[in-house]
Amino acid sequence: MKQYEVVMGLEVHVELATQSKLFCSCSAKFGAAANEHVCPACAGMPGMPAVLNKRAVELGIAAALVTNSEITPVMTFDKKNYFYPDLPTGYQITQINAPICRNGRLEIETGAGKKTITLKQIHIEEDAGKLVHDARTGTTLVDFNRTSVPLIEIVSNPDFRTAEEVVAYLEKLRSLLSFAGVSDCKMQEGSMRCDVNISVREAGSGVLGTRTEIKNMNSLKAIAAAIAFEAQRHIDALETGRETLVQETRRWDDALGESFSMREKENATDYRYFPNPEILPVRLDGAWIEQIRSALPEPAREKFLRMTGELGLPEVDSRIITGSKNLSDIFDRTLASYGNPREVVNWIIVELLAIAKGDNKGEDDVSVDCVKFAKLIELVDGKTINRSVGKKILQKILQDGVDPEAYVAENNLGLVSDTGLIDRAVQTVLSENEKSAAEVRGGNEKAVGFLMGKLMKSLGGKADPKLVNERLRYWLTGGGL
Amino acid sequence: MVYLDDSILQAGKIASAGSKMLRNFAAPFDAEVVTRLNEPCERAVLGEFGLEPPKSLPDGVLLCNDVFGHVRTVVAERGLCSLRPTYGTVSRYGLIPTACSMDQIGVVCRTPAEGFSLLARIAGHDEKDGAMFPDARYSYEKPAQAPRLHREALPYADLVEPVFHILAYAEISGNLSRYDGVKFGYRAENYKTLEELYTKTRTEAFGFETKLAAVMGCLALSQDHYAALYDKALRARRLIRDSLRFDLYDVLVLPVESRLPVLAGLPSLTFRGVQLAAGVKNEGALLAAWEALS
Ligand SMILES: [Zn+2]
Repeated sequence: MKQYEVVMGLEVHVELATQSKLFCSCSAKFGAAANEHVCPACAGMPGMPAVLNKRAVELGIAAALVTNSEITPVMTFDKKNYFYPDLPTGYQITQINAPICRNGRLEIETGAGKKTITLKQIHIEEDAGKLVHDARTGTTLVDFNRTSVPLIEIVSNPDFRTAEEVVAYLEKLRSLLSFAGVSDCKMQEGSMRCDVNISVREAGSGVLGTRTEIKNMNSLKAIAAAIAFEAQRHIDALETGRETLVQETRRWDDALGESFSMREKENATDYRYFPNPEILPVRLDGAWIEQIRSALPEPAREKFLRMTGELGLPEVDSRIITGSKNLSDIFDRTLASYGNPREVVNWIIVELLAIAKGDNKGEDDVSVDCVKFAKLIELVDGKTINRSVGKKILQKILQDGVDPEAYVAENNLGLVSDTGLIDRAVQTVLSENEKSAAEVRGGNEKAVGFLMGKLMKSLGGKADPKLVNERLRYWLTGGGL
Repeated sequence: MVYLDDSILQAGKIASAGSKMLRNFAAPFDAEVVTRLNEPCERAVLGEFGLEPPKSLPDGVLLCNDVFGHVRTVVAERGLCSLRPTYGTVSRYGLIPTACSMDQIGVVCRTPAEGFSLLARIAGHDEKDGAMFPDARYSYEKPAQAPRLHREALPYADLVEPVFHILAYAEISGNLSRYDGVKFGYRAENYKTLEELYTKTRTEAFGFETKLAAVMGCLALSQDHYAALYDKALRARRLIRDSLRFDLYDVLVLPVESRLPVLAGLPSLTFRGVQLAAGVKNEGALLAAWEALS
């Protein structure tokens, strides 16, 4: 039985987090109605010269910095020519001759240890539109909202040997780029997409096997599954000779768990690349790069160390917060308004994420008004309200954006800490539940819970449970008698 | 009255660039030159995308993008004046593009003074055009003393014409790709496949010179010919630009046209030597991004 080695290289497309498109002022926001974010330029009409979005270049430089790449002193843009209805100008503006950076390096960690992945280059380019096939009428519609949205393509060298390495690399890229503010890196929404180039050779061979490229994978799980399938297909072909491998592009079908040839004349296409005369060369000078470097936000790894070190937070919690740029931002903003890191983390992980989960939202999608959120945590922490009232108010903040302080005052939810009031309630409950009271006195601790429930209910859920428990025990042990 | 080349956009008016492809294309906005002129303008349909000679020139001042030099030829025959400003000094916002590295709105006028006064109104930086020189001002004064004359040899005169055509055709072929019948402009009626929609639309709506430019441009950019044609032409362009010694002289005087005006009953004549010089005059200025006056 021969030993085989899988060799993979990755092309990762990441949408840059700019307000506007790469060459016009249309919004680059995701999720608008079809053709809402379109102007004459990105619809391919003649007469609007391309004007480069400076912010996109800055985010590209940030990507170069966090991937330890060599930034090109003067970068240029090229035109890639082909006809397709989702490409309104008939050419895509991209970078071939002088991309923004080359020769990056990233360290990844897998079960097998640490490994350095090298990057060939990162280049800036514009996205294409979207074709929508209407099966009912048999027509095809085109949506130009995504045309000219700025992307970077991160091209790695063929350094990957296992799917685990690929997944670790993508997670690392997602963390680096999202924390640097380059992109939100949401695979489901397509703001991070990955093509895998894969070939298989006999272990020890210096020659690469026939390469195929797999596209259309929109989750890490799908990527791992696609790699496993495709590698096995290559090995079977080499072993049995039943199938001849050809260099081609294949589409991954996640539902069927198989890859299919796209039957494109991919290699026959001549894209007629040439330097784009419309866009002047862009000088990426040292001062500008340093300015961007010094403004880079704290990376996830450093934030994790600060949380577990300086802030004294548990590793498990810190890992959850720094696993998502969004949670991490919520943490920072809430902490800025109320400086108790332990309580803030607690409320994010235990309460906020639970509610988000109920609404089918993940770590990256949950959002909350952090000033109100901080105020709420402070109210609970300062015993102005109890925690269960706090949870209900958090729901109200998320749904209606209520102000927690005003809401507490308006609905009279303040913590009941009037001992006289609590004592009267205890006496009423004890006299109405003499049997349970007797059980507790007889040593049955379970009945305490039952009595507490009755008490909290009679106090409208607003009392401090600790104080109520104290008064209950006082009366049970005959304190009043 | 100022006339606008039909490739300069005026909101709501048809801007066809002289092509059947765009005969139903109503401009969505005003070109920057239209905004700066701020006066009523008439439109003048010239040759398709500037690739053909115009059938006629309007009677008045004309703003046009004369990359291929056909307007200049007619101007010379009529004894008019054509003024091409330095590349990147007049905004191309609202100009239908042909060859982007040479596109530049210029003026056809009766006297240089008239042309310069118009240029002074439309030139100057515009952030809506991404490839402009930030400071450009035009004025016109008669020189105080008579110029001193010298003879100059132009070392790459014979390269100018082919280099110009390779680059201009390559660039315009890319800019013509947007006319595919999908979004706006002409669309062929009977097609079954996407391929057929493209082919029929472009076959039916483009004229001969436009088809030639598109095909020749694609050829120059194709994998097989890129190194020998496009890349070489790019490098030759740099040689030509560097060979023009405007540090030694202020003005280079050349013939405009190699052919004599067609007179009734006589064939037109071409002199090879004159043709080359004419090429340097028209296209040399374009390749080097210099201004030109005829
Ligand atoms: Zn736009």
